Amino acid sequence: MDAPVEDSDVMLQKVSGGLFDVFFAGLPSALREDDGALRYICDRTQIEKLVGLLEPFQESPQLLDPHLPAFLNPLTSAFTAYIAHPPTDEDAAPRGYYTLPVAVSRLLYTIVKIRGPKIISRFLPNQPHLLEPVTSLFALPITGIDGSWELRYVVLLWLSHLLLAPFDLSTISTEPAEGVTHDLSILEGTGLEKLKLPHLSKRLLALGVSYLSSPGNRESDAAALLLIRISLRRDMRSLGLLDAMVAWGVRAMETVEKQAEARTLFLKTGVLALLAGFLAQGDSETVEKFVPTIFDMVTKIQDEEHEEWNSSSVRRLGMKIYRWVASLTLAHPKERDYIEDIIERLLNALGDRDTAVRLGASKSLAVVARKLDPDMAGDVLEAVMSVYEEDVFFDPPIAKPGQRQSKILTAVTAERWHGATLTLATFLRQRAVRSTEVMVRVVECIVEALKFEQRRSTFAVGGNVRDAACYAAWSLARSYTTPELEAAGDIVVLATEFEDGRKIIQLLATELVVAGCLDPLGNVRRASSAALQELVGRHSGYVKHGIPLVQAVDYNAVALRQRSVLTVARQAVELELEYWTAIVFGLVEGWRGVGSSHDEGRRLAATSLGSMCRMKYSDTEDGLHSLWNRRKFILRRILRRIKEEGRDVEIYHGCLLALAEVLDNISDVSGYSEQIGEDILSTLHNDVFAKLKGNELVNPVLRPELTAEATCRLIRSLAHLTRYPDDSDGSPCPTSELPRKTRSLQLWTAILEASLDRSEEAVLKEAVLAAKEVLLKLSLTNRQELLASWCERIENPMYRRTGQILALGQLFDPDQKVRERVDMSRVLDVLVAAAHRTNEVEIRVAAIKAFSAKGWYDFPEAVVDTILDALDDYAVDQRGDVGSWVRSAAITAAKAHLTSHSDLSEEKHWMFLSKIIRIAVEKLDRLRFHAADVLADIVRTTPVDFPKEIQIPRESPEVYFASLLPLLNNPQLREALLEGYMTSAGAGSDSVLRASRRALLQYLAATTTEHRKEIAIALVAVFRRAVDKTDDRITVPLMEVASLLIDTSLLPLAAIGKRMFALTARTHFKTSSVSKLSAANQMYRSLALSAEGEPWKKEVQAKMVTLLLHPFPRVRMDVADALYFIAAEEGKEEVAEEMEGVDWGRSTAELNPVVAKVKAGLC
Amino acid sequence: MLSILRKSRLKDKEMRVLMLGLDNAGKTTIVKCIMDEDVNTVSPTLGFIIKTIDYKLNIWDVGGQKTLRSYWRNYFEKTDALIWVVDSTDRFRLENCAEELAGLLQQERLLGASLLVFANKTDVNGCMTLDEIREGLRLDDIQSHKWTILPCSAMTGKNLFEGLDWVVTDAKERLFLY
Repeated sequence: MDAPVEDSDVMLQKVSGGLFDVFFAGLPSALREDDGALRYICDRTQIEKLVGLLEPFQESPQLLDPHLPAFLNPLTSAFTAYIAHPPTDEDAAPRGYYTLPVAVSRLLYTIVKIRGPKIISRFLPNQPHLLEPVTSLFALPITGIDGSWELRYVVLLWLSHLLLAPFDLSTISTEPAEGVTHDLSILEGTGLEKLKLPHLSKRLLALGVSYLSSPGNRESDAAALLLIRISLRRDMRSLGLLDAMVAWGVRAMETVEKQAEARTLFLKTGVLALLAGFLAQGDSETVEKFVPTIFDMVTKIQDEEHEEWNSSSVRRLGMKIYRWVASLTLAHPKERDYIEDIIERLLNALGDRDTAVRLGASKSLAVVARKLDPDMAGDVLEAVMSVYEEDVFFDPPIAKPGQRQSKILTAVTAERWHGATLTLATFLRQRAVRSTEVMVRVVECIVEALKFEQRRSTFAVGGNVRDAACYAAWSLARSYTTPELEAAGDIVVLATEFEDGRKIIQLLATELVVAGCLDPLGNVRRASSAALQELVGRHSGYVKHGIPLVQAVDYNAVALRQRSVLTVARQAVELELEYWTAIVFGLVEGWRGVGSSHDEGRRLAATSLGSMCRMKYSDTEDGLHSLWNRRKFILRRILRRIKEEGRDVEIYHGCLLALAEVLDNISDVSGYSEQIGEDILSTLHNDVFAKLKGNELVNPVLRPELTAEATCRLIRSLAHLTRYPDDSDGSPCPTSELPRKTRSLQLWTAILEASLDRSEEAVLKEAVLAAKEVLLKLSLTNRQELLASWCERIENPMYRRTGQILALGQLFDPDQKVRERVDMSRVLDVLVAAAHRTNEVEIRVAAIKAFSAKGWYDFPEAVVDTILDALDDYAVDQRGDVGSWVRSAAITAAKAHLTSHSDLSEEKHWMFLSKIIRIAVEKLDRLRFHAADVLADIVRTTPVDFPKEIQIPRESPEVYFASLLPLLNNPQLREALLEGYMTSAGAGSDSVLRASRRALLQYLAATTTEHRKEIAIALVAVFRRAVDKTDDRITVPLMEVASLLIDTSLLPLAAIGKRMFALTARTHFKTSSVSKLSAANQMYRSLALSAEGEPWKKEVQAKMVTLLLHPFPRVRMDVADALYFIAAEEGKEEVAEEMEGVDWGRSTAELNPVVAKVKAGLC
Repeated sequence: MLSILRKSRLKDKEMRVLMLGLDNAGKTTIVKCIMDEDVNTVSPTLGFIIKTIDYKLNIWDVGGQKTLRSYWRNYFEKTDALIWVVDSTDRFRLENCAEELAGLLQQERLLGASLLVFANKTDVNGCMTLDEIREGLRLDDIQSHKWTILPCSAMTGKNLFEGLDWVVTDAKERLFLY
């Protein structure tokens, strides 16, 4: 929907020069040796690399144009050189290589694919003497022609180009070697005297016919072109070839096989293409005589519903043939009249299910209509436009005088609309619309098609219709002169919602602006932008603020929906009130704005509407020229829509969001209620919510999340804007206001309560914000009661929601009034308790989030400790590391507290710092970066002795880790950092693991022995704590990293070796975890190998020997491997020999004797 | 729509020009002169030559020998302009030249094309005047095509680019109308 990579085509344009340079640099060496001689065998990867350089240009072929000769000449010259001196040896290309012709054709085909065969064939060499050798390529398997359809395609294309040679083929043709014949049996019985055909043409015919039925449509196309060219040649025609080919083709089409094979269908498609080509390219006097036969044949297939008519390409070709039959008969009228029949068939095909057929039919219709006399052409146009009235229902079905009917398009066929719109576009391009009166109708049709959409159950169709409408607008702008378009004068098109007459050019421009900003599909927005550009460019001065408008609704700017709806729309409406009105219509009415079928689309539309009511023009007090009138205009329109269509939950959602945005943007609050008027106010407070029965917020079928989100959003805005008289000075509310106030507050509280019970994030976000506004408006007693009820619910052990908790968080708002006479200690107790609820991660997260208010409130020590605890939340359930959500929330909360609280003890500061630093080096990417961000913020204000600036680069994980390691110098942070680091270096994802290990090794290698010792001691401390808590999350990766460090002699063993050993032994005490056992074994191995002269070395070996009898075979094998290695290292050959060839998978009883010997040898 | 637009933009930029005339009129020399190639190495054209100027003007230069003329019609497809080259020194074959041109102009496939007549070799002394050629070719009788005649020289390059400019401007006007 949106452009995947923003502005990728602009990027491509910028880098294209560089890509071309690479291509030109690589091409010669791919095809030729260093001395310029041809490579008969080319490196496949090299060629594919070159192809890869070209592929990006598929979408921007124009960039290739200036370089085409430079691209093609080396290719064609290599090819011709190859033909002049074909290779002599018979070996096929080895694996990984292409033969030269295949390589060249791979590249040629890629260019053809991008730039089109017609253009490229111009660059192919056309010397007639090449015809013979190129034909022979098909008989040379050494070229690799049998395995490469690209080569066959390129050769066929080349041949058809060579056939333009203006010489009789008989003068070029050479006689074949004895015994070579060509199977032309298919032309039997067509009256062709085959003997007279030059040998060369026989070969070409045989080739063409055999590839015509190829399943690859490229080959088939090229073969058809070849056959068309050869048959239409004067010399061949005089031999009767054309007649023979037509006769053959018609016969081939008529053969009906009981079991239609795929191949037959390909053949028939090819033959149709061939026949169509004859009609299109032959002179009328030569091909006219075939018209009746070919026409009858095609109509027969269509009318009798032959199997092949199901193929869309057959139908498309059928449309093409109708077109040429019509043109031929119109040029030279005959007694038989095909025209009406053909037009009817083409009109019907406009609704074909296949786009290519619709496109073909519409093109054909336009071509035919152009050749008709004006009256008949007008009739055709009428018929096309009548499609827009088929199956249209009106609401109300019968209009009372003066009442507006709206069209309901649910029953129309989107395909027919698409076909009709395409036809209009082609008609316009060919200037087939001749009268001003018709032009007005055409414009009406374009405007309707431009906003066409049909909702199906789960998707919408109509994008193609809108796209075609842009094409039609573009064609209109291009093909007609300004006076012609202005001649219609001021017109009113109902579909635009505008009631004043406007000129066609301005009207279309305005509609294109709306489509360019608001259409949900990226390609339609871009198409509108292109059409607008054409309109403004061709009719300069007739579109208001044309140039700045085109700059705003820019082709690249509209690629992203969000940017189009918000930014581009604002830039466009700034220019002119008319655009403002149109965009507002687009946003409020229809399906492109608040009535969109996408939730996100409606939210965007609402935001955009909000910004619309801030727009200022050189205003007067008149109509829409007054700011307040415009605001009221928007409000009234939205309210009307709620009234009429509010039953639809999506529209209700969009409208309410839009109301809220508009109200929020009416910034001058003081005059708000007077300016807006009593009628709108009362509608806002009452009617908007009138439809709610309560069910809408609960029943899952009614999509309660939408209603909840939207109502809460609106309540927030309404409550914020409403000022009851007793709010400010405490005087009692006037009796006249009381009923309304009570009613509103009751309603709001009810909606709020229902919404806070929901769990969707979008709902809660709005509900929580609304909660604050409502709390502020409630009377003191009501507020206390409400809060008390929330607290009670939260304390209930059955409580599973989060909304109320988050809402309580609003009490820490900067606005003191919200907590006036509220029992805050009760609230805090409830929240702290919630933050410690085990087994309910969501509740813990919510509670921590509630504490994240930006430090306006003086939190007690208990809250700070709660946050500190939350930073250590490593809870895991079946969803994985759910504790990470708590930690993430805690990091945010910590930031709020640390950056604003100054009375925290230094000790707490250190605790926060060390925990956040620990998370900053842990394995989870998301959390690591979050913690690093917060770290950079908090160090600036921290009172403790810590560098105030810290640079944490993100270019690569390795520099990231390296930048944090120097913090190990800080005794308060050392252990925490090591603990976190172990999870990255021991259990992180592959890249994190490697990067963090590299950084650590480099750091240790570069530092002093003293510091290494400090680190080693800290590591042991971390290890001990983890072992005490049997925290496998730390122990296993720690052992892996530690053994790596020991192996690289970066840990001073003297200080820690024995303790390490003792702790390792404790880790796998009575465990069944294989990963733990294998990590422990690794530790033992490293310890044993590095502990030269240490007293505990024997103990390690003894421990390992006992593991040789571990119940798990896997463990026995690992340990045996390690011990064997150790024995060999220590020169105890006899032990090593003893262990050799032992199957450690056998039962421990059988292994006992061997183990005893090993024990004796080592210990 | 965007793909259609892209296609038509590419097509807009391109024009197809067919260059015809009797043999030895100097067609290939004109093309070579335009392309700034050596004009002294021209030999009779075997078949045809395609050249692209500024990647928008495609000139198809087809050999003029009598045997080849019957093949001219192979090249008519989608021609925007026809350039007819006349050898101004060849009084003898002027009538022949007029007949060939008249025959060409009747071809339905060339109906939309405009006609530029290059009176070539005007740098040679004693060549025919423009009016002589104009009368000889009966240009004033042509109703079906928009035409103009220019004296030129493929050796000196005189008027060659002016002629092409005329072709391009003329085609642009028509593009806008149709």
